[in-house]
Amino acid sequence: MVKEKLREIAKKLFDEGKVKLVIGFEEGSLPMRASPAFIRSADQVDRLTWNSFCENNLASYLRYYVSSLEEGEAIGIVCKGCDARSVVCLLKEGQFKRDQVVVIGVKCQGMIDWKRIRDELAPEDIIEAKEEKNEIVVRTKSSEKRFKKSEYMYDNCKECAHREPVISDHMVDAQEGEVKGEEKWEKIRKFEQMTPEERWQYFVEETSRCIRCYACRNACPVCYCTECFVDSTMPYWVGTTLEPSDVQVFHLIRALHTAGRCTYCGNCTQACPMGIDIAFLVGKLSKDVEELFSHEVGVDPEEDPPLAAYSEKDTNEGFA
Amino acid sequence: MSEMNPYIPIPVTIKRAIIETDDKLIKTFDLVFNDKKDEERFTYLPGQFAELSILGKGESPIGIASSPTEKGFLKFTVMKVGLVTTTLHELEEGAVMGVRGPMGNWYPIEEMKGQNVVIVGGGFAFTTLRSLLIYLLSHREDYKDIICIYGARNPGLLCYRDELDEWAKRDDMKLYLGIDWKFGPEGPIEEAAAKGWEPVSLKDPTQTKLGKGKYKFTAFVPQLVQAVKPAAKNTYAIVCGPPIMIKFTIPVLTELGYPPERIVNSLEMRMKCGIGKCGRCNIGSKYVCKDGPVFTFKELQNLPKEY
Amino acid sequence: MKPKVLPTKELGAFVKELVKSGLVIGPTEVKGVTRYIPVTSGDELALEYTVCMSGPKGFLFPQNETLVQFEGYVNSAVPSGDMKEAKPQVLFGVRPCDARSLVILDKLFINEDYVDDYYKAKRDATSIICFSCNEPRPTCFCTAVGGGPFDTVGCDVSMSKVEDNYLLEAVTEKGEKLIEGLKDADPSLLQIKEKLKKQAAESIESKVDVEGLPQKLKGMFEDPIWQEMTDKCMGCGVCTYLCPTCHCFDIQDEAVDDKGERIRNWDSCMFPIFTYHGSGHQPRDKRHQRMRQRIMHKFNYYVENFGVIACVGCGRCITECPTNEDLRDNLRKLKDLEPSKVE
Repeated sequence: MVKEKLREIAKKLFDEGKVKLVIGFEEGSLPMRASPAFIRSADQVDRLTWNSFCENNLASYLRYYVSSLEEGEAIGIVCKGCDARSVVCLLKEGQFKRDQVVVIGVKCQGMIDWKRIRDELAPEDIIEAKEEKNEIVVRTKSSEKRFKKSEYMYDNCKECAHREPVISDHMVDAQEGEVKGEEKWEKIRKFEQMTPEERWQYFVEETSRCIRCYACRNACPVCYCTECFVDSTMPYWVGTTLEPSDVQVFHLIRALHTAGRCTYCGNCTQACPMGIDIAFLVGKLSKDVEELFSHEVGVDPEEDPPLAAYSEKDTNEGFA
Repeated sequence: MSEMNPYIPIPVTIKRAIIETDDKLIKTFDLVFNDKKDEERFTYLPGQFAELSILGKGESPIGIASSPTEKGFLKFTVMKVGLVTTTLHELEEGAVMGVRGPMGNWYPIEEMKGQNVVIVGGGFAFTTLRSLLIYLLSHREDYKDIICIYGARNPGLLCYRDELDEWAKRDDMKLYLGIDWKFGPEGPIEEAAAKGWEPVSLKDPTQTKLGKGKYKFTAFVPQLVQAVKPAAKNTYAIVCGPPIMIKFTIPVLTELGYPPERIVNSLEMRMKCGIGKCGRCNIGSKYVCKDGPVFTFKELQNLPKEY
Repeated sequence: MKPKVLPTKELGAFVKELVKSGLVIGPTEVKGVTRYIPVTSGDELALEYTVCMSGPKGFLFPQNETLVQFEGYVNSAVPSGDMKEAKPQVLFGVRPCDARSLVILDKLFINEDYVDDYYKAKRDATSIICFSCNEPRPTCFCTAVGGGPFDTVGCDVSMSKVEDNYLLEAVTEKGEKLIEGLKDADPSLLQIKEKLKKQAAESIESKVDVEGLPQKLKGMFEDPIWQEMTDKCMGCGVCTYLCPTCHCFDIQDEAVDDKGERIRNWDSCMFPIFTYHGSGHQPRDKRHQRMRQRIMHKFNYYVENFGVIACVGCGRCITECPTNEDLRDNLRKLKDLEPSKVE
């Protein structure tokens, strides 16, 4: 079982003095939730768990906790496929050193879109949820319903091409079986078949619900600027109100800043309280980067970040 | 105040703008109300501040440097740090801007009546202390001894220099100026001495000889306070300056015997509304804009250490 | 005034009447997102949702509100108008927790120090028809912070669903005017309502106890528990944007050529630049300091200044937090903690 293996690895790391902190997941306080856990000693490792609700990208925490490490200390981190690629991305950007993180990789089966289940059952409240081999069983006051895991996975999880973490110091196999998902970029390919007017309409409609809470920005592992462009007053790049043009500019610029660095982990969409499909916007740009520069984000730790490197092979579309 | 919307800036015109310091980062503005009625309504006391408003850019909370006894204008000394202050520095005489206020509480001028007053200031935080000093001098009979200790990194960074020379000549108050001994006018301490800035005794500042007519020293403000040794009995100490100066000056005053309720500070915080609504400037349950910015050290001891 | 009754199928007509005399704002659901927006008919109402994602606070204290309009360039701009006027509006179907949150905000915006005219103008023009909660959610804990599922604090009319009817009771004079055209209710409905009220209060599962916590928090400022509590917080700010009692705001100017507006926007103390000084000094640069500020503000500072806890137990911060930070757990930890001896 995954969680026993995780606890075993974590305990060993503490006993051998290899880590000061292990970041993983523990049971959430609400149905269908798991919560990031910060284990600081061997006697706490039994808090670690694993299920199909471990959706947060824990790489978002690394910079904050690495900054308090002394020389020679390291942090253990439980990584799914997408999380590991974010770790690679951050390493390439010099945010911490490789020997400061101990990656405990987990071959991920995909995470469940719990909000979708919650919305389908609303306005009834969910009292309890249990995860079984292929289904999530949810109990409300009046009934019990079953949801097929393969159907209710996040869109980006369905298309995942790197379920096994690309870097790891320890690896744990998730539960049995391979997940037959969709082809990579399937959803975005469908989007690309829309006309420019249709695409614009989709974008405008999605961002019309935005309340400028910046949860997407804070949840993203590669959004770590100490002064974000939206906070700048000199110059005042973008207005701070809900004026649609300002909201749209915010999302467009954020997408451009994260293009080629986004691992399509979906944390942004998961964090958004208004259910805006943010991942697809940056995902589309990441697909473009992948195709234009033959570079898959976060897969090869030795490869230079595509938008920070020059190669003779770069396509010069638009230039003579 | 109750009828007027506290968020609307009152139009004022810049009558005079001069560069105050050699690094050109600090300017002093004299503002005149466009409407005489606004001027009559704007009654304030030393220690209060106002939000200087440039419609189109934003606002900045700045302590009022003029004393209410100086009629016809409001004086503000502003350092260039961000969008609003940079725009303000570029405005010329005759430009129209806005003022919201007066805001906050004031120095305890009533409680200080009949007592001695020691004013300790550092850098350009001296601005509201100028207001206080001029007020005290205008009501000279109400107060006993007045001592003013003011320090800056170097002589070029002292504010109100022509007024400082005037105050040094007065016989109803004592003025002591200090410049950081590491940063004398052009170099080491001997050169500063050659330009008239005497070093205090570094081994023990309390042993410094304060000769007649000598008021310029190379010393950090806390050391200068040690050298001057203002007596604590029946005396209020008003301390205003950068956090590091306050941190080292308060122990000196405490050692001289000043109880916490007679050490008075004026704090700074990032502010927006200035009237205790936007929730930004609080220390514990007190809003620096509304319940401050003047706090006694005793009040600060009761608040969380969060500034 | 005697309580009134409104059969459920006549709700639409009642709302249509209300719309004739002003704006009616009620809970709606669009694509899974529930929030309060203006409605024109009863069909748009989604009264079956116990707690909407965002509450009606934005109709008294909008997310973006123009404070001053001005004309002129930077060196000559003068105010040309302020937007204090307010149109009459009825907030319909507001849950008791949200109604209570408005009373809590009143204490800050309208007090003897300064009166926020923008808020006050809207407040005076607003009538509130509350809707009691027959089925509190698993995350609700209004009873622990001084509220209740059938509370009438802050309401002009208290509406409860009793079998196939809505029972409406006027709480204020304003409320009486709103429902005077309806039929009187049969006393038996009142009895059933009392039963439902008792059931609802008892069905609240969240075990939260804040008795004595405000006073205890005062001595806990330096306690290391704040660091541990904030481990998983991402500082995303969702909790503050959905919280019905959060009131922090930012003021920004936006101008094009010679016209512009000074606007206030909701802001969050969980963002690092909230307290960032122009000098570069940053009193709260660590996340746990900001979490501490949020909890201390709601459970201690607000109590010291205004005598009420600034939390209504609606549970939105709990259900929407991306990392499952649970306020109930945090409050429990704080209540149970032996304060460590820190100077």
